[in-house]
Amino acid sequence: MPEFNDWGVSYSAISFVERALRGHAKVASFERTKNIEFDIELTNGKSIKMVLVDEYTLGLAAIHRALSEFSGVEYIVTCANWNGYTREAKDFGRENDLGIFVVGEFFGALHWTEPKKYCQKDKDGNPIYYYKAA
Amino acid sequence: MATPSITTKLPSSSTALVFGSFLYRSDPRDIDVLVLYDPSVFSPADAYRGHAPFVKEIQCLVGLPLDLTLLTYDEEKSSGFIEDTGAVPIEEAIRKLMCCLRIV
Repeated sequence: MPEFNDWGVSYSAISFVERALRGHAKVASFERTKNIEFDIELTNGKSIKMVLVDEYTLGLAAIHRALSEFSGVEYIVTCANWNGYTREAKDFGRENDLGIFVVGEFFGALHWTEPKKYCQKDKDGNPIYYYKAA
Repeated sequence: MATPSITTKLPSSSTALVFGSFLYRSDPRDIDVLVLYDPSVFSPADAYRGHAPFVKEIQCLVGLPLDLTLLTYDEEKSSGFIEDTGAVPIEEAIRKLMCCLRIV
């Protein structure tokens, strides 16, 4: 297997996600296809399609590229919690029924009935987003 | 006389910058390039395709894999990408590389 793919996602990042999915309470099974695409069966019977990318700042163009290269993808996840997404990218996801997350958020989202609507909260209940912000 | 541009295939409405290890390592493994584009010229769906000739040009010029980040000008403004990464204009980065190569 090559160390990198067209999206520059390292094998260590892919392995990390595979290990986390194997140990996730809400994941019944998963299959990795096209190197960075994950077809995930949840314990509630639903199945979701996720693409793992490594974008320091996930923007609109990368989202469109992922949608064109991975048919039917519903979740675009950028690995590493120091990565993030633009406000425009997150808004595009909300408007188009896509889950746009960093990897830690994604694993939190899988605990929710509607994972795409998941949002982390701080101790006061305020939403936490991984916006890259000026 | 004006200095000829190093990058001839960059659309005139776009701006290219370099960030990451290419700027400070003597043996970078790749070149991280940020391209800012005007979504009224290239839609986000067309942005990668629209900048493909430029990407090829830079890869040939530096002989390294290119890791591309494409953001609209507004996305850069809201994310502070340039300030966050210390990105510099691509011509400045490549001229520095060429000067180093001449010295070597």
